[in-house]
Amino acid sequence: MKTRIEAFIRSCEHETPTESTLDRIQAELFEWQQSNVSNYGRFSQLESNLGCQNPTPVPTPLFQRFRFCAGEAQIVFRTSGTTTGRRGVHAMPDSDVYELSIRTAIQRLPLHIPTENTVSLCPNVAEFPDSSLGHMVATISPHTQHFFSQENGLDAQGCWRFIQANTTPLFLASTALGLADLLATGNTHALPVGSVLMLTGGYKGQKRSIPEEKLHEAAALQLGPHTQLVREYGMTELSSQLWDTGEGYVAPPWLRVYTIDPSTGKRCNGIGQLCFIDLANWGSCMAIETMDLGIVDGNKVELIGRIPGMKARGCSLHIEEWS
Amino acid sequence: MTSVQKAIHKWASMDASLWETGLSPAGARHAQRTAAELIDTSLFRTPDAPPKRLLIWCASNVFTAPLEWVAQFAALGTQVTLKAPSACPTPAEAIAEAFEDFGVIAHRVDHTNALPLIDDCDAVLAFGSDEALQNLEKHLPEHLPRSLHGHRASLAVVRPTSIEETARNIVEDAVLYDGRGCMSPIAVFCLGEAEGLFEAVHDALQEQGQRIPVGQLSAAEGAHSRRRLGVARLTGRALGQTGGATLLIDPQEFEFLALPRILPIHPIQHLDEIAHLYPHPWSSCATNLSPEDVLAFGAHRICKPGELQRPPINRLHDGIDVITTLCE
Repeated sequence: MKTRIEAFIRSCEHETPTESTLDRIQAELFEWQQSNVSNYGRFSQLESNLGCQNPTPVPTPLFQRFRFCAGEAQIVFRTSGTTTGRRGVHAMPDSDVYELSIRTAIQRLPLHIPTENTVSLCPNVAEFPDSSLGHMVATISPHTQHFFSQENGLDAQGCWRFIQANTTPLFLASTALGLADLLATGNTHALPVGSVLMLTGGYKGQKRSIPEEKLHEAAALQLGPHTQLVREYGMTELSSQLWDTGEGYVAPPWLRVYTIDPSTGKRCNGIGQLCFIDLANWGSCMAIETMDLGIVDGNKVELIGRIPGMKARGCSLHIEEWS
Repeated sequence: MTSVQKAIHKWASMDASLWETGLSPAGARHAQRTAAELIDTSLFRTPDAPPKRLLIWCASNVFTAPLEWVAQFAALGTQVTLKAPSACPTPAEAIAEAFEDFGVIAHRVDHTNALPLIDDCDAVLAFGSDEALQNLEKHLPEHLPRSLHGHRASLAVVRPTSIEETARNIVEDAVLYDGRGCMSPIAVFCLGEAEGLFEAVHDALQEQGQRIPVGQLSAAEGAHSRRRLGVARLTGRALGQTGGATLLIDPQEFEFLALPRILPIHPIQHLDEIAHLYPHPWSSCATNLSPEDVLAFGAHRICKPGELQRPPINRLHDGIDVITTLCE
């Protein structure tokens, strides 16, 4: 199955597959995972018995409790646990398809990323081997040497010194929080033409929060107008990401996205709970129900935010809060 | 018929399905009917010093909750003011309308703007989240009599005897208010073989679901329900889906969480197995065991399955004698 998925993703580098091709490979993988990923087989047994062709999405909080992995896990990514205090685990047999998915998605983007000159404000995979974000940056830029994200925070001044001494196009990979910390110094330096700022993540569990638009405005002001902003949306439980180069988040062909009505779990149009079918999760769990709301239009996604009121309560989730 | 009985009758004859309670039309009417039936005015007490003015701070999860208190205090001549919950104000307004001859009024304001109402009352009865009540209490004058009731839930502890009858009664308790009230069972602990009860509860839940469909779930309730269903699928068994499911699930998977019409059944061999659950703020416990067997849970009320949502009018509420507390 791995070889089949690898070949499929490679075929997407320059062409977009038909829906029927996608349907076929999705059905093959669903059947395969039911036999080979024991927890997913148990989870989706009911729908499978009913002859359902659509893979049943697994709610992301279940990754905090259960492993979905075909065979022995060689790679384990963990969520930050900032929302619930418990860390979700995405275990996979290997990282080959995960990395292929990232590389192929990057190649499909309509811009050049100067990965040869990368500055990272994301976790360094050498220090945080279970960070999927760190692994993603390492896959995009295997030779990144300039990490300014440290265990005790960001080395903002060190990062600025590097940026100011730099004369060639730069790939600055950052979390929203990391960028906010960097810009909070008040320094400015226009990056060379051709530079790319990759921004990912939000402020989950953090006290500090800057509206996204304000952060983008500040970045344009302090890093110069020639820096191309690229936004990434992903999560530990997925092997594939959505990329936004200016026209909204776009999923690659092997990552299907749809919304469900969070109240009923049924597919819906308009604002709904985002669900993904990620073929690159061949060895773990292909169908994921996120705790995020969004609007889906084809392969484009507009993010709305987290499902409100997810904090569980004893008596009722409806009891009125102090306002 | 007394004036209070007439007011209750007037309220009961209104169409609760129009009150945007979040329940289905049949669910809202069922809850309305049940609440009205439970008020036995012959059991009303006559304390010496009822408050002249009572403020009732209402929560949105059990829309009928203020009725019994409005009826009792109206009968005592108390001027009752209702702070209607912002999320669902119409039911409180309906109570005020039914009791308009007693001068009952309802205010549709948020918490902050409702605070001045405290200045015009002699006692406060409040329901809501623990946080909301803590915040409210900060604004109450020290001397003001109050009875504040935070979030609680109920449970059932049963032996699998008379399985179908037990299942029907458990489901009747769970279906009212779609399981959101403090007297709704959030878990059923079954001593011994639980498979039979699990299947009987599922059948009864589906049957009741036809008669009284589930209402609107919030996004979070839906997402939590699917998560709970997933846990049950991976560790036990699950029948049904969001808005109507029965789970057969290890007691270690217990969660103090109310989800609309999601009924977890936890098989146990001995009550000691669930001793760690005793400290939860239980409101009531339904059991077909001896009441002494479940005392350790600390539930303020022990009753038979099917009676959880049908408390007697003169009970202690969360262990508190509300009438005495507010009539100091």
